[in-house]
Parts: sequence; C-alpha cells; structure tokens
Amino acid sequence: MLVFLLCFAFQDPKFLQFKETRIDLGTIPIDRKAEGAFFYESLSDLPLDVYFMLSTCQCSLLESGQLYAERGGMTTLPPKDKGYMAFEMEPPPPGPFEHYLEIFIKSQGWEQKVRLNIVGTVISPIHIEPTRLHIDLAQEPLQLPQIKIYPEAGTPLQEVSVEMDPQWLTFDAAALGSYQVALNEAIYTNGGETLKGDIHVKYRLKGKMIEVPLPYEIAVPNPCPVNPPSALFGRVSQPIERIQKVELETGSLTVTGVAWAPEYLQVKFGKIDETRTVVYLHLKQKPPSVLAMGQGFNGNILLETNQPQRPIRIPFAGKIVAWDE
Amino acid sequence: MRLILLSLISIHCLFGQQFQAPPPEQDTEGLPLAQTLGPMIFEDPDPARLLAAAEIFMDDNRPHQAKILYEAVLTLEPKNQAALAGINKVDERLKYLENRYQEFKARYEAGGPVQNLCSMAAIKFHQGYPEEALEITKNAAKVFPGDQVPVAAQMTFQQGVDLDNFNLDRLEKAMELAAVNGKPDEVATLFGRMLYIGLGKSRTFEALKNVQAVIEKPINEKTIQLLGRLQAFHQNQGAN
Repeated sequence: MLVFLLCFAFQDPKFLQFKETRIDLGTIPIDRKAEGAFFYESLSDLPLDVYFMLSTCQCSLLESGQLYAERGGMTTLPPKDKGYMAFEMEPPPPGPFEHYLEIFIKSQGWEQKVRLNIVGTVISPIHIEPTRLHIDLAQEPLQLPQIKIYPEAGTPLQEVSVEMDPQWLTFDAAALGSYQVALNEAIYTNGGETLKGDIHVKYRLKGKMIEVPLPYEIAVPNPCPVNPPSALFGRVSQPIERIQKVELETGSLTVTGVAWAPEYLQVKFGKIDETRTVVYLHLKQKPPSVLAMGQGFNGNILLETNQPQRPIRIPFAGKIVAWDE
Repeated sequence: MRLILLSLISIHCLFGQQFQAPPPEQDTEGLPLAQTLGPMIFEDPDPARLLAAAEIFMDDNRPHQAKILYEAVLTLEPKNQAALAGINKVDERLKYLENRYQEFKARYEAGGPVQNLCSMAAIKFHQGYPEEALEITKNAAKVFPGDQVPVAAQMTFQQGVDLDNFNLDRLEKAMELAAVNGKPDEVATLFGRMLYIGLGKSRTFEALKNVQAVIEKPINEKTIQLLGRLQAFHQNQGAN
C-alpha cells in the first residue's frame, strides 16, 4: 500500500505547463488560414521530447517558430525552456468548430499527454439554402427542392458547382446560384435505406477554391410496404426461433428472386394472394459474425422485383443466445 | 386454502406469463386430431376422417366444434347416418350443458355462493368461450369482494388462454420452418395440432395460407373450405 501511495507521490507528469490549453479564435473567414499560439513553460531540469501526436483539424504546429516536420514529428525542448507552440489551421467548413491537437511529452521514462483545444466559428461569404437537405421519396406528390446560394454583397460568385458522390441526385443550374435538385433513378436501388452524406458546394473566392459541405438525408422507400419493416429474430435459442416472416403488400409488383442474402440465411418467398407476398428468413447456419453466445447479428436482404432497379430491402437483426446444430 | 391461493397469485405476479415448450416426447397436444385431419389438407375431403375428427372434439367436450365437423360430413354425404347421429348427440350435450349453466345461474341468483358463478364460467370456458368465462369471473370478483375463489378462477382461465396462444405461436413457427425446409407432411401435422389447440381460430388458417405460398405440394382448397367453417364459431364470439 505504501509503495502504491509513493508511486503516486513521485509521479508528477506535469513537466510542461501551458498558460492555457484552449484558444477561442472567434470568427474566422473561410478563405484564410487561422493562426494562434499556446504558450508553455518547461518545469523540468532535463530536456523534453515533444511529439505532435494527432489533430482533428488540418493543422500545422510550430514550436517557437520552428515547424514540426509533420504530425508524428518530434522536437526537443531544452531544460526550463519558455516559448510558444504556434499553429496554422485550414479553416473547416462554415459554422462553429471545436478541434484539438494532442502532444505527448517524454523525459527519462516519464510521460505527459496534453490536449490543446481550438474553437471558433468559420464564416463564409456565401449562404446556402437549405442548410440541410431532407428528402423523403415516399412523399406524394414528390417535390424536390432547389438549392440556392446567396453571396454577401461584394462577393462575386465564381466557378460555382454543386456535386455529390455517388450521384444519387443531379443539380441543374436554373440560374446563377440556383440549382434544381433532380433524382437519378439509380437511387431506388437503395430502397428501404436512408442515405446520408454531404453534397459539395464549391466556388472560387479570391483565387482559391472553397468547398462547403451541404449535409443531405434521403429516405428511399421500398417499392411496396413491408410489414413488419424489419425481420427481428429477437433472442434465438430454439430452432423454431430461427425463422422470421415478413409480409409484402406487393400489389401489382412481383418479387422475382433474391438479389442478395448472406449465405447463412435461407430466403423463401411466395404469393399469399393477388396482393400479398410472404417472405421467410431462415437462419440455416449460425451467422459467422457471432463468435460467442449472446452476440448479435444484423444485415439486409435484397429481393428482385419485376420493376428494374426497384429491389425490396428487408433489414434483419437478432441475437444468438444458444445454437445446437 | 386462502394462503395457497395468495401464494399462487404471488408466484403468478412474480414470474408473469412464462411458459415453456414441453420436451418433444410430451409435446403431443392435438396430435390425434392432427393425425386424423392432417393428411387431408393435400387431398379431397374425406367423410371418414371428418367423422373421426368430430368424435375427437366430442370426446374432448367440444360439442360446437364436433357439430361443425358433422355438418361438414353432411355437405359431402347428406344422408350419412353417423353424422346425423353425431349431431343428435351434440345437441343433447349442448342441451345438458345449457341446463347445467342455468342451474348454477338459478342457484347464484337465489343467493348461492360464488362457486356457482365459477362453475358457470367453467362451462363457458370449456365450450370455447374464454372471453365470457373471464367476464363472469371478473363480475364474480366484484360481487364477492375479498373472495379469492373468483380471482383464482380468473387467473386459471387467463393462463389457459395465454398458454394456448403460446402454443399456437410456437406451432406456427414450427410450421413455417417445416414449410421452408420442404416438409409438407410436417406442415399438415402442425396445422392439425393448431386446429385442435385453437379450436379452429382464423390465425390457424392464416398461418396455413402463408406457408402454402412456399410449399410445393398443393393444398386442397375444398378441404380447407370445409375445415374453415370452424372459424365461424370464433367469428360469432369475436375472438379470433
């Protein structure tokens, strides 16, 4: 116990002290690098090796004016050194941000980790409407929005482009800074999913290409109602719990085959009557992702239909509690 | 007695509706009916099998179901003597049960004890009217506050209903599994067992209709139509 307490008494890893570990840059323009500095003082009588370990921003770190080679780079501070670590940061997308740099200090077997926080708000001379794109393709009638880009007075709009990858949507320029969103029919191959990501709005400002992300969320419905919407196996311990039923209100749609299902899942389907199709999902093997009892499994199956590019996606999930072959 | 009842209630409250499937060798409820009727789902209706099935229901004190099956025989062979005799037997049985019910009712109305109401409920329950049985016991608990007998009876009936639903759920799953694994004969047996436990509830026919979509062997529509008459009993009760 005494040894344990003594260990703590002698373990004072704070041999590099910072005046502050959080810098608020306030508002910064999107077209300029942001700069700042963290002032330090070494409390050690020994030289200190300082490693620039990681950062959540596109940042360079300089120590008293000397650039660290790169992230993972190292510098050695002399004993009792006083100085500053300056940073340069490529502005993140418009809006508030909170980033950090992490440095690691080593000296004679002692170690210290310091997180240096940088906060602020990036302002852009253009405004995009909407600020988020929500599209629900199940809505009738489907109305697709326009993306509008408004420059601040005195900011010319140059070389504006709106892009997305994969190209689920297309953007037709109706006028300068105004884009009509249209659907790429291939989006329906994602039936039953909600697609998320960023649309990239790019423009040239003072000779520099600026990219502003526009987050999107597109709910792509299945081509027919799926009831229940997912096959939930729950806790599987008995063989009879290895089967789940899902009913499709197929109407005039016909299920023609299984486009994809994992190997451990047997899928059988058939028409109950003119308008309904039943689909059975049978766990014929233990999912390979389940390495120990009590672990869960999940995934999707994809059924082909007589409508090209309109598959039906059925998510499934469960937990294997016991499995006797 | 009171203590035992209270303990039972406590156990019920503590463990809720936890049912477990019996071991395979004891999992035979409804098997005789399944063996009698099951094979028929792939064949034309057979009066002999229908008669045998009616007898099984009759022996199990389910005169309503027996009557429906005897009537089904008569649609195939209007002069079938065994079916006609069976219907007479059923009517006598129903008359007897109705008389017993009225007897208990009269005794209760004359100021008799709570047991009369419980006996009325038991008659309803065993004839396949669980909702009415539960209603009677609920009412009995109000009329005889503090008496544990109707409470225990209500619990027993409720557990009976829940146990049937549990068994129907697992048999339906087993039937789906058999269908997906391409075992039509097993499907037939499980359908027969569901028919017996659920007394021909529509969910049994729905389950068969679903699995029918994935089994190779065609199901005989005439047979299903005849057996489907059993659903009418539940439709009249509003309990499917």
